[in-house]
Amino acid sequence: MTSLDGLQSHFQHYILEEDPTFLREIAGADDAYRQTRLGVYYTAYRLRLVAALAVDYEILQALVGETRFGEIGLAYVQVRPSKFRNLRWYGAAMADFLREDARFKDEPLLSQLAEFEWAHGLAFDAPDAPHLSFDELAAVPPEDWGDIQFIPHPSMQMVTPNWNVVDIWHAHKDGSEVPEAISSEQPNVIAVWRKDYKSYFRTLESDESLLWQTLANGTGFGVACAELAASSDLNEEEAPLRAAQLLRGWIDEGWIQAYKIP
Amino acid sequence: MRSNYLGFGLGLRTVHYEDILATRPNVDWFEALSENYMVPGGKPLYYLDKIRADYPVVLHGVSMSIGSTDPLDKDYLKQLKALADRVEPKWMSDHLCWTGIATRNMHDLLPLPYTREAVDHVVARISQVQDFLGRRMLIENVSSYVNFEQSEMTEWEFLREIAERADCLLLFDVNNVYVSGFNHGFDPREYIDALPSERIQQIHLAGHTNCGTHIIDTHDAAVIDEVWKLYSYTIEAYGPVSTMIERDDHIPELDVLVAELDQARALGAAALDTRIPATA
Ligand SMILES: [Fe+2]
Repeated sequence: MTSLDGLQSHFQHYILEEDPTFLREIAGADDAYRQTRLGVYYTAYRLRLVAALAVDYEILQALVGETRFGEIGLAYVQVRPSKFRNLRWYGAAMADFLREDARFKDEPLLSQLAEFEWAHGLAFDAPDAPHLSFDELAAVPPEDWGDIQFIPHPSMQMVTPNWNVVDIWHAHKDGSEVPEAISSEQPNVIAVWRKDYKSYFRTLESDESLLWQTLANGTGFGVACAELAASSDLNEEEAPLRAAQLLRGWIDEGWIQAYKIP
Repeated sequence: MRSNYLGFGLGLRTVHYEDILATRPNVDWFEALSENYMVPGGKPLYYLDKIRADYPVVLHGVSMSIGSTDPLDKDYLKQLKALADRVEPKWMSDHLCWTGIATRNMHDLLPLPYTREAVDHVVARISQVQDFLGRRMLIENVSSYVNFEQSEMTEWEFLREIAERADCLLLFDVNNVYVSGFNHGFDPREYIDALPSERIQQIHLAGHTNCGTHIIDTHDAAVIDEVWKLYSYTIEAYGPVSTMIERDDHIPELDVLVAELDQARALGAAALDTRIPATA
Protein backbone atom coordinates (compact mmCIF):
# COMPACT_ATOMS: atom_id res chain seq x y z
CA MET A 1 0.00 0.00 0.00
CA THR A 2 1.41 3.40 -0.95
CA SER A 3 1.12 6.31 1.43
CA LEU A 4 -1.59 7.84 -0.77
CA ASP A 5 -3.64 4.63 -0.69
CA GLY A 6 -3.22 4.42 3.04
CA LEU A 7 -4.21 8.00 3.67
CA GLN A 8 -7.34 7.76 1.54
CA SER A 9 -8.41 4.53 3.11
CA HIS A 10 -7.90 5.88 6.65
CA PHE A 11 -9.60 9.18 5.83
CA GLN A 12 -12.62 7.46 4.36
CA HIS A 13 -12.79 5.12 7.34
CA TYR A 14 -12.80 8.18 9.59
CA ILE A 15 -15.71 9.69 7.68
CA LEU A 16 -17.70 6.47 7.80
CA GLU A 17 -16.77 5.17 11.27
CA GLU A 18 -14.93 7.99 13.06
CA ASP A 19 -11.86 5.78 13.52
CA PRO A 20 -9.61 7.80 15.90
CA THR A 21 -6.35 6.23 14.69
CA PHE A 22 -6.50 8.58 11.71
CA LEU A 23 -5.92 11.60 13.96
CA ARG A 24 -2.17 10.96 13.99
CA GLU A 25 -1.96 11.59 10.25
CA ILE A 26 -3.36 15.12 10.65
CA ALA A 27 -1.05 18.04 11.37
CA GLY A 28 -2.10 20.18 14.31
CA ALA A 29 -1.49 21.32 17.86
CA ASP A 30 -3.54 18.64 19.62
CA ASP A 31 -6.20 15.99 19.16
CA ALA A 32 -9.05 18.35 20.01
CA TYR A 33 -7.99 20.53 17.08
CA ARG A 34 -7.63 17.51 14.77
CA GLN A 35 -11.04 16.21 15.80
CA THR A 36 -12.72 19.56 15.15
CA ARG A 37 -11.23 19.79 11.69
CA LEU A 38 -11.93 16.18 10.71
CA GLY A 39 -15.37 16.63 12.19
CA VAL A 40 -16.16 19.06 9.37
CA TYR A 41 -15.84 16.16 6.91
CA TYR A 42 -17.59 13.67 9.18
CA THR A 43 -20.57 15.96 9.65
CA ALA A 44 -20.72 17.21 6.06
CA TYR A 45 -21.03 13.65 4.72
CA ARG A 46 -24.13 13.01 6.81
CA LEU A 47 -25.70 16.43 6.34
CA ARG A 48 -25.24 16.29 2.59
CA LEU A 49 -26.76 12.84 2.20
CA VAL A 50 -29.71 13.55 4.50
CA ALA A 51 -30.31 16.82 2.62
CA ALA A 52 -30.38 14.90 -0.66
CA LEU A 53 -32.90 12.46 0.84
CA ALA A 54 -35.05 15.37 2.02
CA VAL A 55 -35.30 16.57 -1.58
CA ASP A 56 -36.36 13.14 -2.85
CA TYR A 57 -38.70 12.48 0.08
CA GLU A 58 -40.18 15.90 0.75
CA ILE A 59 -43.63 14.62 1.72
CA LEU A 60 -42.26 11.81 3.87
CA GLN A 61 -40.35 14.49 5.77
CA ALA A 62 -43.50 16.60 6.07
CA LEU A 63 -45.41 13.57 7.38
CA VAL A 64 -42.95 12.44 10.06
CA GLY A 65 -41.43 15.84 10.86
CA GLU A 66 -37.87 17.04 10.50
CA THR A 67 -36.54 15.35 13.64
CA ARG A 68 -37.78 11.89 12.81
CA PHE A 69 -36.84 12.33 9.16
CA GLY A 70 -33.32 13.16 10.34
CA GLU A 71 -33.29 9.88 12.28
CA ILE A 72 -34.54 7.94 9.28
CA GLY A 73 -31.95 9.65 7.08
CA LEU A 74 -29.05 8.96 9.43
CA ALA A 75 -30.14 5.33 9.84
CA TYR A 76 -30.21 4.98 6.05
CA VAL A 77 -26.81 6.66 5.69
CA GLN A 78 -25.32 4.29 8.26
CA VAL A 79 -26.67 1.17 6.56
CA ARG A 80 -26.18 2.34 2.96
CA PRO A 81 -22.88 4.12 2.38
CA SER A 82 -23.13 5.90 -0.94
CA LYS A 83 -21.85 4.07 -3.99
CA PHE A 84 -23.27 6.65 -6.35
CA ARG A 85 -21.27 9.28 -8.12
CA ASN A 86 -24.42 11.29 -8.54
CA LEU A 87 -26.52 12.15 -5.46
CA ARG A 88 -29.57 11.88 -7.69
CA TRP A 89 -29.65 8.12 -7.16
CA TYR A 90 -28.61 7.91 -3.53
CA GLY A 91 -32.15 7.56 -2.17
CA ALA A 92 -33.11 4.71 -4.52
CA ALA A 93 -33.28 2.09 -1.76
CA MET A 94 -35.29 4.11 0.77
CA ALA A 95 -38.58 2.24 0.27
CA ASP A 96 -36.79 -1.11 0.62
CA PHE A 97 -34.95 0.13 3.68
CA LEU A 98 -38.15 1.31 5.40
CA ARG A 99 -39.92 -1.91 4.49
CA GLU A 100 -37.19 -4.14 5.91
CA ASP A 101 -35.58 -2.25 8.79
CA ALA A 102 -36.84 -3.36 12.21
CA ARG A 103 -37.23 0.27 13.34
CA PHE A 104 -39.69 1.17 10.57
CA LYS A 105 -41.22 -1.98 9.12
CA ASP A 106 -44.25 -1.82 11.41
CA GLU A 107 -45.30 1.37 9.63
CA PRO A 108 -45.82 0.32 6.01
CA LEU A 109 -47.20 3.79 5.24
CA LEU A 110 -43.62 5.10 5.39
CA SER A 111 -42.18 2.76 2.79
CA GLN A 112 -45.25 3.09 0.57
CA LEU A 113 -45.08 6.87 0.62
CA ALA A 114 -41.35 6.67 -0.12
CA GLU A 115 -42.02 4.40 -3.08
CA PHE A 116 -44.64 6.82 -4.40
CA GLU A 117 -42.29 9.78 -4.11
CA TRP A 118 -39.42 7.91 -5.73
CA ALA A 119 -41.72 7.04 -8.66
CA HIS A 120 -42.27 10.78 -9.14
CA GLY A 121 -38.52 11.27 -9.32
CA LEU A 122 -38.12 8.46 -11.85
CA ALA A 123 -40.87 9.90 -14.04
CA PHE A 124 -39.34 13.38 -13.77
CA ASP A 125 -36.04 12.58 -15.49
CA ALA A 126 -36.82 9.35 -17.33
CA PRO A 127 -35.57 9.18 -20.93
CA ASP A 128 -37.28 11.50 -23.40
CA ALA A 129 -39.49 9.69 -25.90
CA PRO A 130 -42.40 10.57 -28.17
CA HIS A 131 -46.00 9.83 -27.23
CA LEU A 132 -48.08 7.75 -29.61
CA SER A 133 -50.69 9.88 -31.40
CA PHE A 134 -54.20 9.00 -32.52
CA ASP A 135 -53.19 9.68 -36.12
CA GLU A 136 -50.43 7.10 -35.97
CA LEU A 137 -52.82 4.57 -34.50
CA ALA A 138 -55.49 5.29 -37.12
CA ALA A 139 -53.02 4.20 -39.80
CA VAL A 140 -52.89 0.64 -38.41
CA PRO A 141 -54.64 -1.76 -40.86
CA PRO A 142 -57.63 -3.55 -39.24
CA GLU A 143 -56.06 -7.00 -39.81
CA ASP A 144 -53.13 -6.06 -37.56
CA TRP A 145 -55.24 -5.19 -34.55
CA GLY A 146 -55.12 -8.72 -33.18
CA ASP A 147 -51.34 -8.74 -32.95
CA ILE A 148 -50.53 -5.11 -32.21
CA GLN A 149 -48.34 -4.51 -29.18
CA PHE A 150 -47.87 -1.29 -27.22
CA ILE A 151 -44.66 0.12 -25.78
CA PRO A 152 -45.19 2.07 -22.57
CA HIS A 153 -43.70 5.54 -22.38
CA PRO A 154 -40.37 5.27 -20.47
CA SER A 155 -41.60 7.65 -17.80
CA MET A 156 -44.45 5.28 -16.77
CA GLN A 157 -44.17 4.07 -13.17
CA MET A 158 -46.66 1.91 -11.30
CA VAL A 159 -46.91 1.66 -7.52
CA THR A 160 -49.39 -0.39 -5.51
CA PRO A 161 -49.83 0.95 -1.98
CA ASN A 162 -52.64 -0.34 0.24
CA TRP A 163 -52.31 2.69 2.54
CA ASN A 164 -53.86 6.04 1.63
CA VAL A 165 -50.58 7.57 0.46
CA VAL A 166 -52.20 9.61 -2.30
CA ASP A 167 -54.60 11.39 0.07
CA ILE A 168 -51.80 12.05 2.53
CA TRP A 169 -49.50 13.26 -0.24
CA HIS A 170 -52.19 15.66 -1.53
CA ALA A 171 -52.94 17.03 1.92
CA HIS A 172 -49.28 17.85 2.54
CA LYS A 173 -48.84 19.36 -0.91
CA ASP A 174 -51.93 21.57 -0.59
CA GLY A 175 -51.44 22.36 3.07
CA SER A 176 -54.92 21.00 3.82
CA GLU A 177 -55.87 18.84 6.79
CA VAL A 178 -53.92 15.58 6.71
CA PRO A 179 -56.23 12.55 6.84
CA GLU A 180 -55.71 9.72 9.27
CA ALA A 181 -53.56 6.93 7.85
CA ILE A 182 -55.79 4.07 6.82
CA SER A 183 -55.23 0.89 4.87
CA SER A 184 -57.41 -1.18 2.61
CA GLU A 185 -57.23 -4.88 1.97
CA GLN A 186 -56.70 -4.48 -1.76
CA PRO A 187 -53.80 -2.34 -2.93
CA ASN A 188 -54.51 0.68 -5.14
CA VAL A 189 -52.74 0.66 -8.48
CA ILE A 190 -51.34 4.12 -9.18
CA ALA A 191 -49.66 5.26 -12.36
CA VAL A 192 -47.08 8.07 -12.27
CA TRP A 193 -45.83 9.52 -15.56
CA ARG A 194 -44.58 12.58 -17.39
CA LYS A 195 -45.96 14.37 -20.40
CA ASP A 196 -44.71 17.67 -21.83
CA TYR A 197 -42.27 17.96 -18.91
CA LYS A 198 -45.07 17.76 -16.36
CA SER A 199 -45.59 14.88 -13.95
CA TYR A 200 -49.00 13.30 -13.40
CA PHE A 201 -50.46 10.44 -11.41
CA ARG A 202 -53.80 8.75 -10.97
CA THR A 203 -55.40 5.61 -9.62
CA LEU A 204 -56.36 2.89 -12.09
CA GLU A 205 -59.67 1.07 -12.14
CA SER A 206 -59.33 -2.64 -11.53
CA ASP A 207 -60.07 -3.84 -15.10
CA GLU A 208 -57.82 -1.05 -16.35
CA SER A 209 -54.87 -2.21 -14.30
CA LEU A 210 -55.46 -5.76 -15.51
CA LEU A 211 -55.35 -4.71 -19.15
CA TRP A 212 -52.39 -2.40 -18.63
CA GLN A 213 -50.31 -5.10 -16.97
CA THR A 214 -51.02 -7.51 -19.80
CA LEU A 215 -50.24 -5.02 -22.57
CA ALA A 216 -47.19 -3.57 -20.83
CA ASN A 217 -45.74 -7.09 -20.80
CA GLY A 218 -45.80 -7.09 -24.58
CA THR A 219 -48.93 -9.20 -25.03
CA GLY A 220 -50.77 -8.60 -28.31
CA PHE A 221 -54.05 -6.64 -28.21
CA GLY A 222 -56.26 -9.60 -29.22
CA VAL A 223 -54.95 -11.89 -26.49
CA ALA A 224 -55.07 -9.05 -23.96
CA CYS A 225 -58.76 -8.50 -24.75
CA ALA A 226 -59.45 -12.20 -24.28
CA GLU A 227 -57.62 -12.14 -20.94
CA LEU A 228 -59.62 -9.09 -19.91
CA ALA A 229 -62.86 -10.93 -20.67
CA ALA A 230 -61.67 -14.01 -18.78
CA SER A 231 -60.71 -12.16 -15.62
CA SER A 232 -63.43 -9.50 -15.39
CA ASP A 233 -67.22 -9.24 -15.60
CA LEU A 234 -67.00 -8.29 -19.25
CA ASN A 235 -68.02 -10.75 -21.96
CA GLU A 236 -66.08 -11.35 -25.16
CA GLU A 237 -67.91 -8.62 -27.05
CA GLU A 238 -67.69 -6.03 -24.30
CA ALA A 239 -64.00 -6.58 -23.52
CA PRO A 240 -62.54 -5.22 -26.81
CA LEU A 241 -64.82 -2.17 -26.60
CA ARG A 242 -63.71 -1.47 -23.06
CA ALA A 243 -60.08 -2.09 -24.05
CA ALA A 244 -60.35 0.36 -26.94
CA GLN A 245 -61.87 2.94 -24.61
CA LEU A 246 -59.05 2.52 -22.10
CA LEU A 247 -56.45 2.65 -24.83
CA ARG A 248 -57.83 5.97 -26.07
CA GLY A 249 -57.55 7.37 -22.58
CA TRP A 250 -53.95 6.19 -22.22
CA ILE A 251 -52.91 7.67 -25.55
CA ASP A 252 -54.53 10.93 -24.56
CA GLU A 253 -52.64 10.92 -21.26
CA GLY A 254 -49.32 10.02 -22.87
CA TRP A 255 -48.81 6.54 -21.42
CA ILE A 256 -47.80 4.96 -24.72
CA GLN A 257 -44.68 5.65 -26.69
CA ALA A 258 -45.31 3.57 -29.80
CA TYR A 259 -46.89 0.42 -31.16
CA LYS A 260 -45.32 -2.43 -32.99
CA ILE A 261 -46.71 -5.18 -35.15
CA PRO A 262 -44.62 -8.30 -34.65
CA MET B 1 -5.83 38.83 -23.41
CA ARG B 2 -6.29 35.12 -22.86
CA SER B 3 -8.30 33.23 -25.45
CA ASN B 4 -11.83 32.28 -24.57
CA TYR B 5 -12.56 35.18 -22.26
CA LEU B 6 -16.29 34.98 -21.51
CA GLY B 7 -16.85 37.82 -19.07
CA PHE B 8 -19.09 37.43 -16.00
CA GLY B 9 -21.22 34.36 -15.36
CA LEU B 10 -23.38 32.59 -12.82
CA GLY B 11 -23.82 29.01 -11.70
CA LEU B 12 -26.93 27.62 -13.40
CA ARG B 13 -29.44 26.53 -10.74
CA THR B 14 -32.80 24.77 -11.19
CA VAL B 15 -34.79 27.46 -9.35
CA HIS B 16 -33.67 30.08 -11.88
CA TYR B 17 -34.42 28.23 -15.15
CA GLU B 18 -37.75 29.93 -15.85
CA ASP B 19 -36.50 33.33 -14.78
CA ILE B 20 -33.46 33.12 -17.05
CA LEU B 21 -35.54 32.26 -20.08
CA ALA B 22 -38.20 34.86 -19.30
CA THR B 23 -35.94 37.80 -18.37
CA ARG B 24 -32.66 37.15 -20.28
CA PRO B 25 -30.60 38.59 -17.43
CA ASN B 26 -27.36 40.47 -17.94
CA VAL B 27 -25.18 37.40 -17.43
CA ASP B 28 -22.52 36.62 -20.01
CA TRP B 29 -22.41 32.86 -19.51
CA PHE B 30 -23.52 30.03 -17.23
CA GLU B 31 -21.67 27.25 -15.49
CA ALA B 32 -23.74 24.04 -15.37
CA LEU B 33 -22.99 21.26 -12.87
CA SER B 34 -22.27 18.25 -15.08
CA GLU B 35 -23.78 15.66 -12.72
CA ASN B 36 -27.15 17.45 -12.69
CA TYR B 37 -27.48 16.71 -16.38
CA MET B 38 -26.16 13.15 -16.35
CA VAL B 39 -29.73 11.87 -16.14
CA PRO B 40 -31.72 10.03 -18.80
CA GLY B 41 -33.99 12.92 -19.86
CA GLY B 42 -36.72 15.29 -18.75
CA LYS B 43 -36.66 18.89 -17.57
CA PRO B 44 -32.98 19.27 -16.61
CA LEU B 45 -31.73 18.57 -20.13
CA TYR B 46 -34.64 20.42 -21.71
CA TYR B 47 -33.76 23.61 -19.84
CA LEU B 48 -30.05 23.20 -20.35
CA ASP B 49 -30.56 22.95 -24.13
CA LYS B 50 -32.75 26.07 -24.12
CA ILE B 51 -30.34 28.12 -22.06
CA ARG B 52 -27.40 26.86 -24.09
CA ALA B 53 -29.11 28.19 -27.21
CA ASP B 54 -28.82 31.73 -25.81
CA TYR B 55 -25.72 31.69 -23.59
CA PRO B 56 -22.24 30.17 -23.63
CA VAL B 57 -22.09 27.33 -21.11
CA VAL B 58 -19.19 25.67 -19.32
CA LEU B 59 -19.45 22.31 -17.54
CA HIS B 60 -18.29 21.93 -13.95
CA GLY B 61 -18.04 18.45 -12.41
CA VAL B 62 -17.86 17.39 -8.79
CA SER B 63 -17.27 13.66 -9.03
CA MET B 64 -14.41 12.89 -11.39
CA SER B 65 -12.32 12.13 -8.30
CA ILE B 66 -9.11 12.88 -10.15
CA GLY B 67 -7.02 12.29 -7.02
CA SER B 68 -8.55 8.98 -5.94
CA THR B 69 -6.48 5.81 -5.91
CA ASP B 70 -9.48 3.95 -7.38
CA PRO B 71 -9.17 3.52 -11.16
CA LEU B 72 -10.74 6.29 -13.23
CA ASP B 73 -14.42 5.56 -13.78
CA LYS B 74 -14.71 4.89 -17.51
CA ASP B 75 -18.52 4.95 -17.45
CA TYR B 76 -18.50 8.34 -15.83
CA LEU B 77 -16.03 9.67 -18.39
CA LYS B 78 -18.12 8.29 -21.25
CA GLN B 79 -21.26 9.94 -19.88
CA LEU B 80 -19.37 13.17 -19.40
CA LYS B 81 -18.11 13.06 -22.95
CA ALA B 82 -21.63 12.40 -24.25
CA LEU B 83 -22.88 15.39 -22.26
CA ALA B 84 -20.08 17.53 -23.69
CA ASP B 85 -21.03 16.45 -27.22
CA ARG B 86 -24.58 17.60 -26.55
CA VAL B 87 -23.80 20.85 -24.74
CA GLU B 88 -20.62 21.89 -26.57
CA PRO B 89 -19.30 23.68 -23.50
CA LYS B 90 -16.64 26.35 -23.82
CA TRP B 91 -14.62 24.28 -21.35
CA MET B 92 -14.90 21.64 -18.64
CA SER B 93 -13.62 21.62 -15.09
CA ASP B 94 -13.42 19.51 -11.95
CA HIS B 95 -11.59 19.69 -8.64
CA LEU B 96 -8.13 18.83 -7.41
CA CYS B 97 -9.43 16.35 -4.86
CA TRP B 98 -10.72 12.84 -4.36
CA THR B 99 -14.30 11.89 -3.51
CA GLY B 100 -13.96 8.31 -2.30
CA ILE B 101 -12.27 4.94 -2.74
CA ALA B 102 -13.31 1.30 -2.92
CA THR B 103 -16.34 2.34 -5.03
CA ARG B 104 -17.71 4.40 -2.13
CA ASN B 105 -18.54 8.05 -2.55
CA MET B 106 -18.18 10.60 0.25
CA HIS B 107 -19.83 13.34 -1.86
CA ASP B 108 -17.19 15.77 -0.72
CA LEU B 109 -14.13 17.41 -2.25
CA LEU B 110 -11.54 15.71 -0.07
CA PRO B 111 -8.04 17.18 0.04
CA LEU B 112 -4.92 15.38 -1.15
CA PRO B 113 -1.60 15.24 0.68
CA TYR B 114 0.88 17.57 -1.01
CA THR B 115 3.45 14.90 -1.86
CA ARG B 116 5.54 13.92 -4.90
CA GLU B 117 3.63 10.66 -5.01
CA ALA B 118 0.29 12.50 -5.23
CA VAL B 119 1.65 14.84 -7.91
CA ASP B 120 2.71 11.87 -10.07
CA HIS B 121 -0.60 10.14 -9.50
CA VAL B 122 -2.76 13.16 -10.36
CA VAL B 123 -0.65 14.24 -13.35
CA ALA B 124 -1.00 10.81 -14.95
CA ARG B 125 -4.73 10.82 -14.41
CA ILE B 126 -5.35 14.33 -15.72
CA SER B 127 -3.40 13.36 -18.84
CA GLN B 128 -5.57 10.26 -19.27
CA VAL B 129 -8.75 12.30 -18.90
CA GLN B 130 -7.57 15.01 -21.29
CA ASP B 131 -6.68 12.36 -23.87
CA PHE B 132 -10.05 10.70 -23.49
CA LEU B 133 -12.07 13.92 -23.65
CA GLY B 134 -9.89 15.35 -26.40
CA ARG B 135 -9.61 18.69 -24.62
CA ARG B 136 -7.75 20.34 -21.78
CA MET B 137 -9.39 20.28 -18.37
CA LEU B 138 -9.57 23.09 -15.86
CA ILE B 139 -8.61 21.94 -12.38
CA GLU B 140 -9.95 23.83 -9.37
CA ASN B 141 -8.33 24.34 -5.97
CA VAL B 142 -10.63 23.20 -3.13
CA SER B 143 -11.23 24.49 0.39
CA SER B 144 -9.71 22.30 3.07
CA TYR B 145 -9.96 21.92 6.83
CA VAL B 146 -7.00 19.66 7.54
CA ASN B 147 -3.30 19.42 6.67
CA PHE B 148 -1.61 16.05 6.49
CA GLU B 149 1.60 15.12 8.30
CA GLN B 150 2.91 13.57 5.11
CA SER B 151 2.68 16.76 3.01
CA GLU B 152 6.03 17.81 1.54
CA MET B 153 5.16 21.14 -0.08
CA THR B 154 2.64 23.98 0.01
CA GLU B 155 -0.72 23.71 -1.72
CA TRP B 156 0.29 26.28 -4.35
CA GLU B 157 3.52 24.43 -5.14
CA PHE B 158 1.47 21.25 -5.47
CA LEU B 159 -1.12 22.87 -7.74
CA ARG B 160 1.48 24.61 -9.88
CA GLU B 161 3.51 21.49 -10.46
CA ILE B 162 0.46 19.46 -11.41
CA ALA B 163 -0.80 22.13 -13.82
CA GLU B 164 2.56 22.39 -15.53
CA ARG B 165 3.29 18.70 -15.75
CA ALA B 166 -0.23 17.71 -16.86
CA ASP B 167 -0.43 20.78 -19.08
CA CYS B 168 -3.92 21.54 -17.83
CA LEU B 169 -5.69 24.82 -17.17
CA LEU B 170 -6.81 26.16 -13.81
CA LEU B 171 -10.08 27.23 -12.30
CA PHE B 172 -9.01 29.52 -9.50
CA ASP B 173 -11.50 29.72 -6.64
CA VAL B 174 -10.78 32.93 -4.75
CA ASN B 175 -13.07 32.03 -1.88
CA ASN B 176 -11.44 28.61 -1.47
CA VAL B 177 -8.01 30.21 -1.18
CA TYR B 178 -9.38 32.62 1.40
CA VAL B 179 -11.01 29.76 3.34
CA SER B 180 -7.94 27.53 3.24
CA GLY B 181 -5.66 30.47 4.08
CA PHE B 182 -7.79 31.19 7.16
CA ASN B 183 -7.95 27.51 8.15
CA HIS B 184 -4.23 26.85 7.71
CA GLY B 185 -2.75 30.26 8.42
CA PHE B 186 -1.20 31.18 5.08
CA ASP B 187 -1.39 34.41 3.13
CA PRO B 188 -3.67 33.97 0.09
CA ARG B 189 -1.62 36.58 -1.76
CA GLU B 190 1.43 34.37 -1.64
CA TYR B 191 -0.71 31.61 -3.20
CA ILE B 192 -1.97 33.92 -5.96
CA ASP B 193 1.54 35.18 -6.74
CA ALA B 194 2.82 31.63 -7.13
CA LEU B 195 0.34 30.33 -9.70
CA PRO B 196 1.10 30.27 -13.44
CA SER B 197 -1.07 33.20 -14.58
CA GLU B 198 -1.31 32.03 -18.19
CA ARG B 199 -3.10 28.82 -17.18
CA ILE B 200 -5.90 30.51 -15.24
CA GLN B 201 -8.98 30.30 -17.38
CA GLN B 202 -11.79 30.83 -14.89
CA ILE B 203 -12.47 32.26 -11.44
CA HIS B 204 -15.01 31.19 -8.82
CA LEU B 205 -16.41 33.49 -6.16
CA ALA B 206 -18.68 32.35 -3.32
CA GLY B 207 -19.74 32.91 0.26
CA HIS B 208 -18.92 30.73 3.26
CA THR B 209 -19.64 30.13 6.95
CA ASN B 210 -17.23 31.43 9.55
CA CYS B 211 -17.22 29.19 12.64
CA GLY B 212 -14.70 31.35 14.50
CA THR B 213 -11.87 28.85 14.70
CA HIS B 214 -12.31 27.78 11.10
CA ILE B 215 -14.31 28.60 7.97
CA ILE B 216 -16.51 26.12 6.11
CA ASP B 217 -17.02 26.49 2.37
CA THR B 218 -20.82 26.42 2.28
CA HIS B 219 -21.73 28.53 -0.80
CA ASP B 220 -24.82 29.70 1.08
CA ALA B 221 -24.21 33.42 1.45
CA ALA B 222 -23.00 36.52 -0.33
CA VAL B 223 -19.30 37.00 -1.11
CA ILE B 224 -17.63 38.78 1.84
CA ASP B 225 -15.52 41.96 1.63
CA GLU B 226 -12.23 40.18 2.31
CA VAL B 227 -12.87 37.86 -0.63
CA TRP B 228 -13.79 40.82 -2.86
CA LYS B 229 -10.45 42.41 -1.95
CA LEU B 230 -8.72 39.21 -2.84
CA TYR B 231 -10.62 39.12 -6.12
CA SER B 232 -9.31 42.59 -6.98
CA TYR B 233 -5.82 41.42 -6.14
CA THR B 234 -6.32 38.35 -8.35
CA ILE B 235 -7.39 40.40 -11.37
CA GLU B 236 -4.52 42.81 -10.81
CA ALA B 237 -2.20 39.81 -10.85
CA TYR B 238 -3.70 37.79 -13.71
CA GLY B 239 -5.55 40.29 -15.90
CA PRO B 240 -9.05 39.61 -17.23
CA VAL B 241 -10.29 36.13 -16.33
CA SER B 242 -13.84 34.79 -16.85
CA THR B 243 -15.47 35.11 -13.45
CA MET B 244 -18.60 33.59 -11.95
CA ILE B 245 -20.44 33.35 -8.63
CA GLU B 246 -21.42 30.00 -7.11
CA ARG B 247 -24.44 29.71 -4.83
CA ASP B 248 -25.64 26.28 -3.77
CA ASP B 249 -27.74 26.86 -0.69
CA HIS B 250 -30.14 29.60 0.46
CA ILE B 251 -30.29 30.48 -3.23
CA PRO B 252 -31.81 33.97 -3.62
CA GLU B 253 -33.82 35.38 -6.52
CA LEU B 254 -31.88 35.64 -9.75
CA ASP B 255 -31.73 39.45 -9.64
CA VAL B 256 -29.90 39.33 -6.30
CA LEU B 257 -27.15 37.24 -7.87
CA VAL B 258 -27.08 39.42 -10.98
CA ALA B 259 -26.53 42.43 -8.70
CA GLU B 260 -23.72 40.58 -6.91
CA LEU B 261 -22.22 39.80 -10.29
CA ASP B 262 -22.34 43.52 -11.15
CA GLN B 263 -20.14 44.06 -8.11
CA ALA B 264 -17.63 41.62 -9.61
CA ARG B 265 -17.80 43.51 -12.92
CA ALA B 266 -17.10 46.83 -11.21
CA LEU B 267 -14.24 45.48 -9.10
CA GLY B 268 -12.79 43.62 -12.08
CA ALA B 269 -12.83 46.79 -14.20
CA ALA B 270 -11.25 48.84 -11.40
CA ALA B 271 -8.55 46.21 -10.88
CA LEU B 272 -7.69 46.30 -14.59
CA ASP B 273 -7.39 50.08 -14.44
CA THR B 274 -4.92 49.71 -11.59
CA ARG B 275 -3.03 47.11 -13.53
CA ILE B 276 -2.77 49.03 -16.78
CA PRO B 277 -2.96 52.72 -15.86
CA ALA B 278 -5.09 54.58 -18.38
CA THR B 279 -3.08 56.98 -20.53
CA ALA B 280 -4.30 60.57 -20.70
FE1 LIG C 1 -15.52 26.59 -6.58
